[in-house]
Amino acid sequence: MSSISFSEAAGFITLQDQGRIGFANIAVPTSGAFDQSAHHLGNRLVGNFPGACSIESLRGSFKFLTDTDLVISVTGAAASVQINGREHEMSRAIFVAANSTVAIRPGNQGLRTYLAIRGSILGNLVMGSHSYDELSQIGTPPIKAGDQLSISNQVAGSISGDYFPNFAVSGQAEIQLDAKPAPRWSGFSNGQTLFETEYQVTESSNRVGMRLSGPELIWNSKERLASEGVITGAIQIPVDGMPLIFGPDHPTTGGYPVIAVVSRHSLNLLAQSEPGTKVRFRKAR
Amino acid sequence: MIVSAYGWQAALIECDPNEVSALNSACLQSQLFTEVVPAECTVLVCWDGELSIARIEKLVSSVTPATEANVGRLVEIPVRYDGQDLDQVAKRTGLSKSKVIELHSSTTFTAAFAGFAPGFMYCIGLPEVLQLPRRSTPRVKVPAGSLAMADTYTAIYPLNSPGGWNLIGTTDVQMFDASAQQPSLLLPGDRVRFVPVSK
Repeated sequence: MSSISFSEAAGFITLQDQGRIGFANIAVPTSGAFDQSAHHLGNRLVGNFPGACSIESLRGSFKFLTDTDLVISVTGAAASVQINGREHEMSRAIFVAANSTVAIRPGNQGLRTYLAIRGSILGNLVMGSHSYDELSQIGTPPIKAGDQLSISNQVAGSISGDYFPNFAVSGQAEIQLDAKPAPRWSGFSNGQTLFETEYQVTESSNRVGMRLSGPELIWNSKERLASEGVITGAIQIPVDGMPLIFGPDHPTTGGYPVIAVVSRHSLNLLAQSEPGTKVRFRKAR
Repeated sequence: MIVSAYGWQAALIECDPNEVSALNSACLQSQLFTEVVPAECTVLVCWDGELSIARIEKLVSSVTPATEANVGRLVEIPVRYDGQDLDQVAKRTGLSKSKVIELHSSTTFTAAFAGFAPGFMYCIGLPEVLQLPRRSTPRVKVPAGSLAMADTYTAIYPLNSPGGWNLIGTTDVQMFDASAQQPSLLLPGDRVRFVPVSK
């Protein structure tokens, strides 16, 4: 089978697909691509099935050699894409001849860059997904120098000639997120604060959750809330009163109250938001 | 039962703790959901596409604890009652070690819900006299296969992990195997018995 061999890989670089569906009841998170719009666009550009895997690079640098002709796409956070030392554009399908070297370097905007390959990249298929789950540490381990990955030939359709130059603009300094009040909303004494003030993304953010800082949200009840199921996008309020928005690798149950839930589109924005990004919540119905 | 929208494609169903198991089964059997996540007194359901809260309310309206007649599988797990905290547990409960073992191993527990780590199943039914708070200082590493108790629960740590529960035994049974067709030995709703073995 065709393969790509990594000569360099620095940073947190993982394989991600649609994730593990149907295992939350045994405490296995869904996992999967954090910025799904960038991940799906990348696969769409090279004619892959929606379930195909792509490389999710958290501002990482990597370089690989291919032993076969490839069609690739690079989407999401700004990055430099070089093939045999020549610069190429993001957000379009690119032909790569056998024995070429592809090098990806992070740019200065956004957090997560996606690289898709026509036919799909293959990792370790664990419980229906190749995704690396940062919380449970299952799936394909993060990519490191010396790794080799196989490329399958399962394509869904033709290569797209489309080009999305503006799509690469992710990672704005200020974002607006759509959020719906959750079942525990009324248990907060100042829930409206969430929609009336500004929060900031902090350094303690990863695929498990994004921690924000800002005005404290106050849970009324003295009683312990019984553990309950939580979902990706849920805004949990731990004892310090600061919002924690669950990412794809979030724990499946939690004992702290959830004030609201952000939309799928908002999660895509969050996936690209570096520490310091200003966040405003807009109430959705 | 109260059904509340939770984001765009999920709902939280609140119920009595003794209704969770039947509600969980009904939600699974309906095949409407991508995820069904039971917890202490709620069941979370997630779906793709469009589904109305009214449709879910209709589904849950027929659920009563009585339909729990078709209880979960009985899973027997061989354990050695040799946990590091067994002496402490005996002291704090005022029981002899053999009485603690007898009580724990003669109880039929119910796997109520998962959390904390893949395959970590909170089992309910712990006799009141054995209900102790968790350790004041959690251990940095609890080995996989440790049988433990805390608060109203008993559980087996499926993987090496940190943990603050009182360790009372060990098992060689693999509780979680990501490569298996059914990765978790226990599923919510299963009945569980711990069978003492000497080695």
